[in-house]
Amino acid sequence: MQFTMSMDLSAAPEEMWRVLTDVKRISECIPGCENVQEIERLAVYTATVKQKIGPFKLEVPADIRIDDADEPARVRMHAAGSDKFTGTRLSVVMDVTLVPEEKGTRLTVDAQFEVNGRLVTLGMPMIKRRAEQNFQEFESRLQALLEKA
Amino acid sequence: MRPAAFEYLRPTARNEAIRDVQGSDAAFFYAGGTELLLALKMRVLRADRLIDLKRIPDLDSIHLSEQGDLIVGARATHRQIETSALIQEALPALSQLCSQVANIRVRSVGTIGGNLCFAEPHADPATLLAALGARLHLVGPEGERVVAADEFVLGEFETVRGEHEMLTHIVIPPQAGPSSYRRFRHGERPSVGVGMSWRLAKGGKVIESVRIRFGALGPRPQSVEAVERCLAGVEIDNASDELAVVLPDALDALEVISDRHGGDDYKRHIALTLLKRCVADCREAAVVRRS
Repeated sequence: MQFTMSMDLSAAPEEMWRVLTDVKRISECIPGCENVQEIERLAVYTATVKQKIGPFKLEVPADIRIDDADEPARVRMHAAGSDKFTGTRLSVVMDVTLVPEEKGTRLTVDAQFEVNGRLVTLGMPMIKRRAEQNFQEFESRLQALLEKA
Repeated sequence: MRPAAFEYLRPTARNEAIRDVQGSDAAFFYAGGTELLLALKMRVLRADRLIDLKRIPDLDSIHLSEQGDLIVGARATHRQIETSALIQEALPALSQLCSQVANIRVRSVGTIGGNLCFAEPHADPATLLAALGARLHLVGPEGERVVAADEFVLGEFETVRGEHEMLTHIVIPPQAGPSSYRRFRHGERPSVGVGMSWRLAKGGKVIESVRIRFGALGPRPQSVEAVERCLAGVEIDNASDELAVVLPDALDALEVISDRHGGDDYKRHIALTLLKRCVADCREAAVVRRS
């Protein structure tokens, strides 16, 4: 599953960078993301992702790694983890790009998202739609956070 | 695979069941178990407590109320509904629907309440019950409440029922006309279901109003106002012609999810065909009813 979003913001890339690398605040934009721990600044983090569809519940302890950070223009990161009980594996690769514009910055997020495991047997279209909803929610929370900053 | 260990309780009264379900983080009511036990065995669902409802009396009763409402207990099995003389007489569409659920093993133990509460998006009963204007009675720690069948299902596997609420029975108001439910048979793909209910004017020749619900196309049963509107006030013999005026464009309003069983255009086409068959069924039943 591939998701893309972009938004124009009034602040300069350097200012955006400060907000985007505040991992605690950014993680609050991700629906179901809890308990974020910094293992190494701008390199390694851990978090728990919780999701619920009706009676089906997922709790995924995830490792998050920043693969490449080019201040203040680009970050590439990946996150992966498995729910122990259902054996459901989630993984995401995300590219965040900041391009300076005449008045502010253009922010682009590209995410490649994968779900594997028994829970997928409930229906991939349903899981895809849930992922889309979450990504939209992430977009609106992120926009609110960045506009405030 | 075996399910993970869970506690198993068998209350004999509704209030005991409500008390029991509140005592754990992952408690589920258990009636037929045709979907629940499968999910537990597959380990896509974790339960630490099951509350067996089979010892609670009257949860599977099928009868007419004094007001003429048809009452179907939530624990009534598909087979009970299929073979109930009362339902065969009052609502043949519901009895036929239940006769086509899955296979005989599922119909013998699977319950209508379990089917509704699990809210598997391809299940049939929610669609017809919404078309019939049914009401669902829930009882929980806060007391009893009634929810329209139309509002019960929120999406795939999600309903308005709280975790501590039990669906006790379904109330289907007296129908002032015929109803029909058409679907691809079990095993045929893609899943599409259409439920229809007519309200006939006095004399039985004119359709006063129509309720139609399309199931399994989107996350929950849907109505299409343009189709319902075009049939209101029409003579039963002209229903098919009137329908042809708004079809197929009216069905563009449906939310249809493509999957490996069929694209949205193909599913819409099936919905259209089933809709026409529902109209033909209702017309035929209306003629029989009049004579």
